[in-house]
Parts: sequence; structure tokens; C-alpha cells
Amino acid sequence: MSAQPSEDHSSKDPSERSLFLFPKWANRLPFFFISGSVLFLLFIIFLFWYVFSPKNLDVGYAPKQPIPFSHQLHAGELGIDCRYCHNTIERAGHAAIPNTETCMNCHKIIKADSPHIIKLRDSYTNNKPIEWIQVHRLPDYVYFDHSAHLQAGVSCVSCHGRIDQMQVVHQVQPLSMSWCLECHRAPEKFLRPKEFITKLDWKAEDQLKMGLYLKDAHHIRPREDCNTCHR
Amino acid sequence: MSQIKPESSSGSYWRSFSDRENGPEFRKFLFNEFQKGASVLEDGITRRSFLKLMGASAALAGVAGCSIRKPVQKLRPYAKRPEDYIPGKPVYYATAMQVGSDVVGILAESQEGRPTKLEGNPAHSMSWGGLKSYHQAAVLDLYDPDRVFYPMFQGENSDWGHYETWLTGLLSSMAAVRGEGACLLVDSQVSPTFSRLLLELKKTYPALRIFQHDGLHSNCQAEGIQLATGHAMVPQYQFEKADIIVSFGSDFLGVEPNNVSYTRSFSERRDPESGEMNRLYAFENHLTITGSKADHRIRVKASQIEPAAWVVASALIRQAGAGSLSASIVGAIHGAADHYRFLVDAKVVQAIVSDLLSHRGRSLVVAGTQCAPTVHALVYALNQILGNAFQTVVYRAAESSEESLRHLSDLLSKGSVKQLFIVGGNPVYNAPVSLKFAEKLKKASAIIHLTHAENETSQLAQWVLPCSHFLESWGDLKAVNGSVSIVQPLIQPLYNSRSSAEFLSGLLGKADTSYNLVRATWKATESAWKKWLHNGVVSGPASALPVAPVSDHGFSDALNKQARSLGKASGIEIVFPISYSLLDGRFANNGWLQELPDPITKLVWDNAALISEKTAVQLSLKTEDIILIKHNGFELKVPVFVAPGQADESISISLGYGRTVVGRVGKGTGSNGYTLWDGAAYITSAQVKKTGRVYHLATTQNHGSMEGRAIIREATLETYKKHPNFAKEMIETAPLESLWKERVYDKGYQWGMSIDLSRCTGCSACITACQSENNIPIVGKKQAMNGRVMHWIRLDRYFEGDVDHARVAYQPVTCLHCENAPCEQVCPVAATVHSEEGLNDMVYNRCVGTRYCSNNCPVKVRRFNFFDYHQRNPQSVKKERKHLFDYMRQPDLDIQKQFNPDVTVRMRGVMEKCTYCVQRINEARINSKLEEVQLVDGDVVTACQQSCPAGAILFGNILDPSSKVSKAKGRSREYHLLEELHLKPRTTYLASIRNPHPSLVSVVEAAHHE
Repeated sequence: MSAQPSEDHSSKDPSERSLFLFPKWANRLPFFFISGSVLFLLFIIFLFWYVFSPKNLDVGYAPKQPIPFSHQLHAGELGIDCRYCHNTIERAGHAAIPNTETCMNCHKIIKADSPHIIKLRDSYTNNKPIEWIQVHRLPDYVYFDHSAHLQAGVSCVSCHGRIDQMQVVHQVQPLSMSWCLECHRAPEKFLRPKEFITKLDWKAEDQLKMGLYLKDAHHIRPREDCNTCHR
Repeated sequence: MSQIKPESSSGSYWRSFSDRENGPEFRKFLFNEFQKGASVLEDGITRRSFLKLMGASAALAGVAGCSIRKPVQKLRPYAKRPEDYIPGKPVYYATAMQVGSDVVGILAESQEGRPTKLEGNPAHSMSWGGLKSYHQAAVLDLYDPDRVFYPMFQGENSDWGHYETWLTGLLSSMAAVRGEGACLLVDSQVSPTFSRLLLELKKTYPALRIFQHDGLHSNCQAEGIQLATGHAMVPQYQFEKADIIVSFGSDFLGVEPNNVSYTRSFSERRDPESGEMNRLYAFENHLTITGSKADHRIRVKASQIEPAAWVVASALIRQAGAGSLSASIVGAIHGAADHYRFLVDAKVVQAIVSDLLSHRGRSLVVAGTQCAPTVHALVYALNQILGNAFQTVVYRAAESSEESLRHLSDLLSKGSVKQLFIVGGNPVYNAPVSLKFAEKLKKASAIIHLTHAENETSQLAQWVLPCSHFLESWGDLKAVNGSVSIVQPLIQPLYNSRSSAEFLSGLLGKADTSYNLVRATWKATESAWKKWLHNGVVSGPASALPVAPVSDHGFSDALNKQARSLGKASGIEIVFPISYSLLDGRFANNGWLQELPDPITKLVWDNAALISEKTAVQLSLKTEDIILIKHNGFELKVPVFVAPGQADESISISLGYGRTVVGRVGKGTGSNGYTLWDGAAYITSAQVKKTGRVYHLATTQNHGSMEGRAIIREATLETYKKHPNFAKEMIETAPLESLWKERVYDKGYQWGMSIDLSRCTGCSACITACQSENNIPIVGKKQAMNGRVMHWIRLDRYFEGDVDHARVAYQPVTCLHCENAPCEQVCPVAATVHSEEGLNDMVYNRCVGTRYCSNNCPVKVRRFNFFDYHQRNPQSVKKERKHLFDYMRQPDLDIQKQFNPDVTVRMRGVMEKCTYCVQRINEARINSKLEEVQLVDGDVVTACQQSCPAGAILFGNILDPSSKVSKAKGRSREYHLLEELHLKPRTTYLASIRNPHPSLVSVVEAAHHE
């Protein structure tokens, strides 16, 4: 190893070398950086927790349907019971969308020449289904059963809202798992006698008292096991 | 550790040679549950580099597509909903299925009009609710995307219209010569409607000749009984009444006709608590299901099975007298037996004879359907001497069979066949090789083949016509016991196909639908018809034929001739058993059956040449060596599999593999034994040569080992009577305590299962039942070799004792639903948790795939989806790619129709396992709530339990003292797996009991117990 310094180094005087010093404000950089990233993380969490939650994403979903069927008119004004059309609901997991035949029971005569009813008639005569757009959609790994809930005394309104006031059906509740569990953990807040299940405007005088009574009388013990809904 | 060795067994249990020798192959699976390379994708990218790549692309994707939109899902309700139909509720229809000449009753589940699962019809006298694997897998054949979709003319797509115009021309020319030169080749047809149409056809074209060929059909039984009585009859056994059973080469629990009902009636008598146990002596060449259940299995070469029968018969006649047997027959039997005095140990013969004589009228002698006619004649005579006829065996008239394939082959070589109509079957593949059928077939001027899928035969046909699946068309079937069922379709033909009856109707110049044809056969009132359809049975078993006395109709001559020819048999024999899953190759394109482990070898996706250890050493062969077998100028290359229990100088090759013209699933699987097969059960003096090359076989026999602990427990009946609690006492444990406060399960329904190892025959029907119920994918051979078979039930097969006389024990192991489940403690995301009804739930959408649970599972029953196996199925199709993370493939749309909509289809990266069919539990529970009643025993039936032909699986509420399962759990031979771990499993086992003859219990065993 040679002890001789190289030429250009030796020519410079060490004192002449410019020293870079952080300005004083730079002392606050770490603070800003750390608090900034914490805030950013919090923001991301907030984004997922709030913005991406079903409450924000799904509630209010109101797709345009191929036939502008008004529940407000049929269920509200005309007072047709939910189960006239959704007639498998007390026997099956699926609340079957009514078949065209059901609509035609009345619409063979009523407003038979309306352009929308003509679509309906086409479906009936050609035996082709009407392609409705699903509003209340659960993930594929969830197995919800309508009949079990109706049997326990959960009204349509608890999940679907005041359908009888909706011109266009939209989602009212988030239908998330935590929302499901709210009721499964405290069913007394929602239970009602079976005869009022489809009376969407019915309200108990004292929901809690009645709910507790019903829960006891009908041995209602909503299960919270995973396999209740997931299999 | 002394407690590790099961005390009451004479030897140690082993799963494979590698296990026995503690070889590297076994240890590979023992110490590494997840095989090397588990984290490497198939194309060689490691997980780390994959994550790097994906991380980068995910970041870019985040920037690129920020729109989060709810996917639009369309709902299509019926325009006119069928009456009484509730969407989402499965409906069951009674129908029936034919395999060969074997008929079983079926209840088929229909989900929104799609048949999804087949279950046995408990009202049908040939299935009693049980089914075998191949019956259940038939539903997959319905949706097979490799089926024939439309008629094909000379390889070009055509349609029925063209065919009919072509046929009209042909028929008029045929009519002119009264059908001269026209031939019809049918597979086993047991349909009364089909027979009626055949008769009509014979009337219309008197010169038409009809032939029959079916890979599963053997005429030996009828021929044999004809030798002894002059009447063509077939026996039907009643094992439930037989105390002593002697089988000569019969696999009545395996693939022989009526095996479902035989399994049920045989197993009824394997339960020491519900009456006297039966005792089975089996003479056989290679290990079969039947041999594995035998109390005494006597290993003899295929050609020596008949001499063994002579020896037993001769000894029996000497002790019991000849009864009504003529002197010529008796002389022939003694003469034939004389040369083989030392073939079977005299002690064994004496035990058999004394057992048979002390159980006159309650014993049964059976012979394999493939055995020579003389064996059947002899067996008939023996049953007659023992007074078994009408007690344990009845006889029914054999179906008048048509001319055989040999006659057709002669006609073809003469060139006198003009038109050949082939209904079903695949004679080019499974005809005896010396016929050279494929070559001769080319001499026919027109071949019309009605077939389900393209095969070797349809390759040579001018017209290939699509045949309807039995779930697509009407039909009727007559079982061998005379009971008739209507075949009810569940779905319109998917691909414009026609049933065999409709095809015949076309030949008659009519175009009747299958429904009209069946209705015309069965002139019934509407209400009677509906009742038949509902019950699935038109009429019960017909009455049996009276017993014909034994008289010499060529019996003694045949016996003498047979004795002379067998005396010359030498060299290595090749035996051709029918495959347990693919049968004669008809199910070769069925993924479930290809991946169903063989009950004995546990081979998947292949067959092999089974060979005994001694012969393997002689020929310096080891497992996976390819050998070349030559016989009469025909040859076959096949990999070797050294099999315990195989007779020396004998090679067994399962038929049904090595199909060349087959769909995407069956392509390139196994070797075709038919290239050597010549109609008989075996061939002698074959030349075997080592080729020096190696073929890798996939066997699951080493998967999920439990390291020699007392997993399987069995005892002889004698020991059991002396020590009823032997199974529990096998392991001594200190009082067990939990580290934490245990959850108490004392309310509501508490589900549990009990599996009776004494009844289980290892037939593997439960595996397929589970697969079809729970949307379990197939993984393919490569993945199977890597230990990734996805079956939720692992049917363990253990050998015990020395290699040549290995005894076999079976144990189906599924998730035990332990109350103190070790898997639950280690899951970092609580994806596996316990339900209040005692189920160990697996929450797929929580699972992140750490695989800790599987690591910690003491019984190794958890299965991990290393890939999305559904989209890796050879029949999967390309999918339209909608976004970056979209999967590029999906299961074929037709295959998707089979999926059970009540069970989640799992994604890759997710753990899964037995759920106790929680979808069935939930359905039953909800139904009981709607009806406001409590669930009672039998309301919840798991898929495996439903299908089990042996009735070995019980499931129900263990808190209900009257339920079958709690009664089973209360029995003294009940035991828990790995009790020392304090798992408190909900699935428990009943130890297997064997019933050997006291004088034959081996010295070792006797010493052990005293």
C-alpha cells in the first residue's frame, strides 16, 4: 500500500471543502414523516372500513330492471301480500322471483296493452324468462334461508326495508356479516308474531318485551356457529 | 414404547413394502406431509418470485383500475314454473341403472332440473340403499363433455335427418332379402322393452342375426349348471343365511354381478353383536375385496383354484357321502383331486369340510363368475349335497343369451356381414384378442354404432350415433332376481341423443319415443304407472326355480378333460380381473373413478402388473419396472407392482385401462390388458421379460401415515368373547386432562359417527359418494404422486403378517370432529372453529392457507387446495378474462351442472375437510323447524353413510340414547383413534372382528392370546 495521497486530493485544503449541513427545519422531518405515514395508514384503514364496507358500497343499490315493476303500487297501494308473488318463501331457502304466470293471473286483463305488459306477455307466450337484476346479493359462500327466518318471526322489513314504499327496489341494509350477527345475537329486537311478518308498517307497542316473549315461547335460539351460514 | 404396538394382533401392520422396510418412499410421506416443492408452481416459479411479480402487477393494477363495481347478477325465474316445484329444493326421483347385467335401483337427486347425485333406492331388492363407486360416478358421465354430441357419418358431423334418409334406403334393401347379411351386436340387455323390440325385429327381418358381447358378461355359470343339471340356470346367493362360506375365486363383494346386495347381506353377518358371525374361506389368486374380508384366505394360482375345489369336494364326498351324485361324477371328482392332494394344507381342507358338514343347509359354496363351467357344476353339486339349495342359494333361469362374439367374428371373416348395427359396448377394445376383431370388422360394408362416447369401435364405424344416458331416457330393467324397475329420466337428452330402444324402433321403421316404447311394454293404468315410478320398483323378486337334481349332462367328461388340460398348465400365468373402478373400460373417461384408489393396491390413474414378492425376486423385478409380456404372439408392456397376497408365478393385470380412443380424462392411463386377454380368466405359460425401463405409478398407500400407532384394532371372535373390551384396553392412558376448561356439549343435537370396521369391505363407495356430494375436485396423476389427493375420506388399507399370507384391514378415516381439536388451536385466523353441535367447522372464506391446522392434525384428514383443481381439470375450458386477477380457465359448463349448489366450491389456497355433510344437517334442521318437530334418528344421513353397501357407517345424535349411533358407540368394541391425545373425537370406530376356525388360528396368534 502506498502512503502517498493521490494528486487531486492533496491539492485541496480540507478547510475549503464545503460541508453539507441539514437546515434546522429538517429536525422536524422525522416527525412529519412518521405522523404522515401513521395518518396515511389510518386513512387506508378508514378507506377499507368505511368506503369499501357494504354499508357504503351496497346500500342504495337500485339497478334498472327490465320492467319497471313498482312494489309501491302492488304491495303498497294495492296491498297485495308479499307471499302472493314470492310464494315459496315459507317453504324454501330461496324467495323465488315470481314466474311470469303469476303476473299474468291479473295482467291478462289489467293494462294488457301497456308496453311493459306486452314484454310480460311475450315472456309468457314464448316461455322465456324475464331477466331481472338481482338487488340483494349475498356472497356465494353464504347460504341464507328465507323459510327459517320467516318461521322464527323475522319480518321482510327487517332486511328489505319498506319495499311497499319503493318505486324502484333498492338495498336498505348492508347485508354484511356483522349486520346479520346483530340480530342473531339479539333477536328480540326484531321478532314479531308470525301473522304480522308481511305487514311492513306494523310496529309493536313494546318490541323488546314482545320479542323476549316470542323468543321464549317459540324456543328461538339463533345459531352463531360458522356452519349456520357457511358450508 | 410398548403401547404403540397393537397387542392383540399377531404381527405388525404395514401399508406398503416401503412401510414394512421403513424405506425412503414411505418416509418421504411420513415426515413431510407437504411434499418437497409444495410451494413451487408447476412451471418452476418459486413462491417468492411469484409474489414479487404479483406484488408489482398488483400495484400497477391498483393504479390502473380504480372502479369498483358490483357485478350484475341476473335472475331468470321460470315463465311457467312446473307445478309443485320449489326452486332451491332438491327433488328425488326413483330410477334404475344397469351395469353389465347387474341392475340397481337408484334415487337420483335433481337440483333445478339437473341430476347431481345418485343414491341407492332402499326399496330395490338389488341395492337396498347402497351403491358402488361406479354407479355413483355415472352421473359424471352424463355431463361428460367428451360425449358424442350428434350423429357422425364417416367422421363428419351430421344429423339424425340424414341418418334416417340413409337408413330408409338401407332398410328397404334389407327388407328385400329378409335381413340377410344384417347383424345386430348388443351389449348386456336386460330391458324387457328392448327384448320385445328384438323379437319384433326378428319377425320383420327373419334372417337378421343377433349377437351379444359385454365385457362384464360371463356365461360360465349358466354353462356349468347346465353340465350338472341340463338346465341353464344362474345361482343367487343369500349370504344373510349362510354361516360358512367357501369361495373359489369369487369376488362377490367386488365387481361380480349383484355385488351391492351381496355386500349388504354378507356384512349383516360380520357383526358379532347382532347374531352369529359367518366364516369365509376364500381361495384366490390375487387379493380381492372378498379375499381381504376372508377369515381364511388360501393363496393359489388361478389355474389351481379349480383343483383346490376338487380337493375340497373330494374330501367332502368321502366324509359325507355322495348324496344323489352319480358314480361317474364322483369318480371324476376323486380322480381329478388325486393329483392335487398336496395343493391345499390338509388341516385347512379338514377345517373347511368339518365346518361345511356341521352347517348343512346353512353353508354356501360359491365360485367366481369367470371360473370354468366345471367349477360351477361342481359348486352346484356341493351345495346340493350340503342341502343349501333354497336355503342359502336359489337358482333362476339364465337370460337366454344371444350368439356370442365368436360367431359374429366367424361370419365377418367369411365376408357375409353386410350391415352391422352395434348397440353400445366396445368390442374392438374388449374382444378376445385372438379374434382379431378390429381387422375383421373392416370386412363389413356398413357399421352403425350407437355409443355414449367415441371409442375404439366407433372409430371403425360408418355411422356413429349418440346414445342417451340412462338419466336422459325412459327404459325398464329386469334384475337377475326378476324384479323389474322403470328407468325414469331426470333430464331431456343434453345432446340430441337416442336411447337403445329408440334406435331399435328406428330399425323397425318407426320413430317411437322411449316413453311410448316403455309404456307399450307395460300396459298399466295411470295410477299403477305412477306408483311404479314413485317406488322405483314394478314388481319384487320373482320366485326361484325348483332345484334340479344333479345328473350327468357331460359333467364327468368335462371334468376329466379339464383335469387333463390343467395338468399341463405351467409357467407364469397372467390373470385378468376386471378393474374395481373402470370395470371393462366403460368408465375410462370418468375422473372420479380414475382417481379412486384401487381398494387393494391404492393405485390411481393406472393399472399395473401385480406380482408376488417371491416371483419378483426370481425375475429380479421391483415395483415400477416395465416388463414385456409375450403370449401367443401378442405382447404387452406394463409396469410392475409388487403386491402382497399375490400367488407366486402369477401376474394380475386389471382390465379396463390403456384405452386409446377415449376422452381427455382417460387419455394415457394404464396398460391395456385386453391385448393379451383371450376370453378366459387367465392365460398360462406367458413369457415375461424385463425391459429395463421404469414407469412411475401413483399410489396413495403411503399418504397420511400414523406411524405404527394402534390405529387399527382387530381380534378374533374368540378373543373378543373373552375380552370384550380388548379394543379399549389396547392402550393404557393416564387419566387425561385438558389444559383448559373443556366446553360441555350436553344440549341440542350433538352429531357423531360410528364406523364398523368389521362390516367395512373397503369397496370405496363412500369416497365417490363424498366426492359427488361435496364438489371435490380430481387432481390428476402428477398431483396424486405428490400426496395431494383431495378426497375427504381416506380409506386406509393395512396389511398384516407376512407378505404372502398378508391379511388386510381397512379403515376409512375422515375428519374425526374432535371435541378437543388440535387443528383449532393453531389456526391464526380462526378459520376452523367448533360449533355448538360438536362439528369442527371449516370456514373457507376465512382461511388464508397457512396449513398449520393440517400440520397439527393427528389423523391427517385435512386437504389443502394447492391449486384451483377445478380449472386444472383436463376438461376445463378457457374463460373470458374480465380483469387482471381473473382465472384463465373454468370447469366445463356441462361439468358445472353436476356441482351441488348447497356446498361451496373451494378456491385454491384454502384448506378443506369432511364437514359431516353439514348442508344435509342444516337442511334437515330447517325442515324440522318448519314442521315444528324435533329431528329424529335417520333424518340426517351423510353421503357416505347413505351409499355404504355394507351399512358400516352410522351417523346421528349421540345425545339421543335410542339413536343407532349412540347404541353403536355403547358397544364394547368401540374405540377412539389416538385416545392418548385426549382428542375426544366424534367419529369413533368399532374394532374389526375376524372369525377364524379354532383349529387354524396360527400358532403365533394362539400364543399371543393365552
